[in-house]
Amino acid sequence: MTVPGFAVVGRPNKGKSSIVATLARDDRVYIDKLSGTTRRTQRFPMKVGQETLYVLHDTPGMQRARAVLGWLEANAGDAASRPAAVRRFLEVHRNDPRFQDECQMLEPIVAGAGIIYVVDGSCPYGAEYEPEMEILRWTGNPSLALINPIHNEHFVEDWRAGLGQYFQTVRVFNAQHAEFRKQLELLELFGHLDPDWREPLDRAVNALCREREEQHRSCATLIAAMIVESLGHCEIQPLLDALPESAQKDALLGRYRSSLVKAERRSRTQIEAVFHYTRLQRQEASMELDGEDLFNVENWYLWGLDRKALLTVATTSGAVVGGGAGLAVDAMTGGLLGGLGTLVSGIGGAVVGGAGALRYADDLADIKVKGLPTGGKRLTAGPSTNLNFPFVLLGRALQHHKLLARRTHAHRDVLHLDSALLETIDEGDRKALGRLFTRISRGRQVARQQAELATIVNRYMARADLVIKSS
Amino acid sequence: MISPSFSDAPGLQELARLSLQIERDRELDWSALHERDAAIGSACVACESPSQRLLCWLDRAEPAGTDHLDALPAGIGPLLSAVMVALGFSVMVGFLLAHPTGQVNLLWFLALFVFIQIFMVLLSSAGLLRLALGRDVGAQWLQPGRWLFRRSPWAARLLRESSDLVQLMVLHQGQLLGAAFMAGALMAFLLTLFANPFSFAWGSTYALGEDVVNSMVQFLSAPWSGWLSAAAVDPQLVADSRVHAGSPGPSAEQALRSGRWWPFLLMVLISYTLLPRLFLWLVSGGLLRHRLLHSFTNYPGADLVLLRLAQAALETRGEAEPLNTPQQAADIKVSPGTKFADASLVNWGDAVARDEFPSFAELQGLGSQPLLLAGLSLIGDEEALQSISAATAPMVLILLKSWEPPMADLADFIDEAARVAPCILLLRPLRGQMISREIQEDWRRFAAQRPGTPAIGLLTECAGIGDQP
Repeated sequence: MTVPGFAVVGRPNKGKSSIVATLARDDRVYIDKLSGTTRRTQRFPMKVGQETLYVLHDTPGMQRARAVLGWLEANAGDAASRPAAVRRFLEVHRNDPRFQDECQMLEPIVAGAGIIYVVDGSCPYGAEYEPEMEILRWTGNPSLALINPIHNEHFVEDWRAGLGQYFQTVRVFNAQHAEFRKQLELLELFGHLDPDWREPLDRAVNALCREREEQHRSCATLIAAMIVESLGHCEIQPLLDALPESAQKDALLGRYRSSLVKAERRSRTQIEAVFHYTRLQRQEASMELDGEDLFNVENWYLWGLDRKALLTVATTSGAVVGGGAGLAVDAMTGGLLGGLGTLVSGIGGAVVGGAGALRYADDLADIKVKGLPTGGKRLTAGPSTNLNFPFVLLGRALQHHKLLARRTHAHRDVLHLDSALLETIDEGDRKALGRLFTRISRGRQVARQQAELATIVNRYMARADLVIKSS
Repeated sequence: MISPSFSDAPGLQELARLSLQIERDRELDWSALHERDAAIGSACVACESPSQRLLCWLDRAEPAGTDHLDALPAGIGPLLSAVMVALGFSVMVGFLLAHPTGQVNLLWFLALFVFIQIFMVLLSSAGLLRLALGRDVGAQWLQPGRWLFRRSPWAARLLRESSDLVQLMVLHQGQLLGAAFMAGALMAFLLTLFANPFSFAWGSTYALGEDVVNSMVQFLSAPWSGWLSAAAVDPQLVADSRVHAGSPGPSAEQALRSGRWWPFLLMVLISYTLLPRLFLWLVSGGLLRHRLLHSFTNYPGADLVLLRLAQAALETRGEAEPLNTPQQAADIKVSPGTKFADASLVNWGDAVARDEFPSFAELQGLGSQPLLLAGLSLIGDEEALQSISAATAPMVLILLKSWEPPMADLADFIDEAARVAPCILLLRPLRGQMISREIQEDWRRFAAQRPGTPAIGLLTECAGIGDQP
């Protein structure tokens, strides 16, 4: 049996490449506001192992549809000879630079590919579209039309009426915002275009569902690993007599924070790779997510737990050490200090070493000065015992995952972490997480705690897709 | 959760290798990972259990030339056992021969070789119970074996990740060493007995009455007194073995009778020290095996490895790096105040109907000029070109839908019209909307490629028009 193919066709700049990028989950597909950037047909095979289940063809837009239709009308006798006329057009003009785009587009269709005709639902219907729709009808291939509302849906109904004259099936599909379920529905619809295509398309949908579940599990594992790594991380350096102790402590704390930021960024890149995003990082050069933003005081309670939830978790996890004083201050002032109490005292406890100023600079981890048996002293920063810190990491990671899971590969805007996600975690799980974080901080059976953490995280990740089709 | 199978058992070293390899894999590309593991999966198809598959995967996934994790030196286990045998032997010999009168203190013997050992066995049992319940053993510094274990880098990794397993491993090995110690002591006991027969005695130093000692001895021998009377002790022997401070040494008959303690002591040593150690060793070994299998197959990320091994790699992306052809746009705009009064007017694709002219500032006053419809049919284009040619106007004004992309058939038309007069493109916005910069850029780029198109302009909706929905 031949592999089902689907040629995504339409006028330039109407979202063909966006649809291909979304369905092929390929953010390398060039999507430009400028028209005519696709000049050659590109193949996007969907392969499971060595087997290809279907192929998407991203085609250039038709440039001289009226001229092509004129040639076809002049070279076809009756309706039955129309598909042959299209083939003949291709044979005759294959090397004609004037019809290069048309030939590129017709090539897969003449080879048997189904037609996915794409229009922009935010622009009005126009009679100038009719020649190209007529040409597609002449091919005799199974076809459907997709209305891609790029900016809005103002003209969707007009298009529905117009396209209904030429295509049996017309659907609205927003390539930029189509959630996973919609993408699967569209693929299933492709399968309905021809009875022979149904089985491979169903298998493709099932394979994608399986992969989606695996993606969530992988992300949960990666996030759990990142949290465990961050909670266990510490920086050590010898205390030099020649330099002021406070300066050395500041530098060490800076290095400690920088390592945590790097660990988080590395985890982000890994999670983006799981969702097949290879270029997100480059596009996110200026995104808020980066750098010292992790330690942004204003967002600390947004990403992590709020004061009330933190108190509840702390009392059940037995993790209140040191920073409990800060929590108490926050509670007494009704949060008027904006969490400053907790941040400055730090759940990690008092700063050891005698530099009182550090008490207010270091909210994340202890700085310890320890004598060495060989003489001299050693400075240690971390590991963090701040109870909210792993919740902040988790909140940010879950939000990042949610944005990725709901994003399509046609969407090229930057990501923003600006909502509180941990609110969706129920209290029982928060307490369980608090206990897990405490055990991880204490270094107890970390692998086991990590696996449990991944299980809880995965539960919330699967919710990012409202539906996962059973395989 | 994956159920372990006992047919194969990874060791702690394999667990550490798995941990390292999963960490390495986090840096790999998703597709590459799937391709690699799908290939390994077909090579490991004969492996039935998850742990076998993981071990098979581990052997193939580790990069070539990976420096295998250094385990403890190969002979360290037997060597330590030999040392403990020698130690037990020495302690027993030293203890027995330390009595020049040939009279061994029975209570000291029991304290050193039985009660302390029983205490250790009880401690180990409590630790094993805690570990079996999934808790860590407290007071880890009390386990000397852990210090040795800690010296290995891979073991240090496991100490953080799977401290319970390491504790179980140390406890398991500890039982073997304890048993080796007692085996050495037993050997020494028997050899010394044959080489230099001695008697056992107990004194009144600790104010213990005969009843107490007798009860203790009867209690200790209870398990075998019914079927091995030779190893039981009668009250008379207890009484005969008692020595009083300041009293003369035992008579020859007493010495002979007190020498009969050894079957009882031999059974006590075997029953309360050696056998419990061996029993704990077996139980802790079984538990360790079970836990290792469970930890191995349930290690974070191992489930994903098994999944990748079982299913074919999925790929949807393009076969080649997609191409793009962005081009630079020239900055060509209609000069402000340009008059279109004498221009030939072309309505491309029915962009602006004549009755809409008053809506656009630039078209006001042009209502009476002929409006040529083009862009819908080739015949229409031909007729429009003929009209342009006949009119010989100083310029051709082409009204366009800004939301439609510039196309080649428009370019063909412009190229023809420009033979007569330069063409100016006027873009009509969607009602109530601005023409975006990207669209303007797109049209400028198009115009820049047409020598006969010196400028483009934007139609401006008159006040009130743009407010309509």
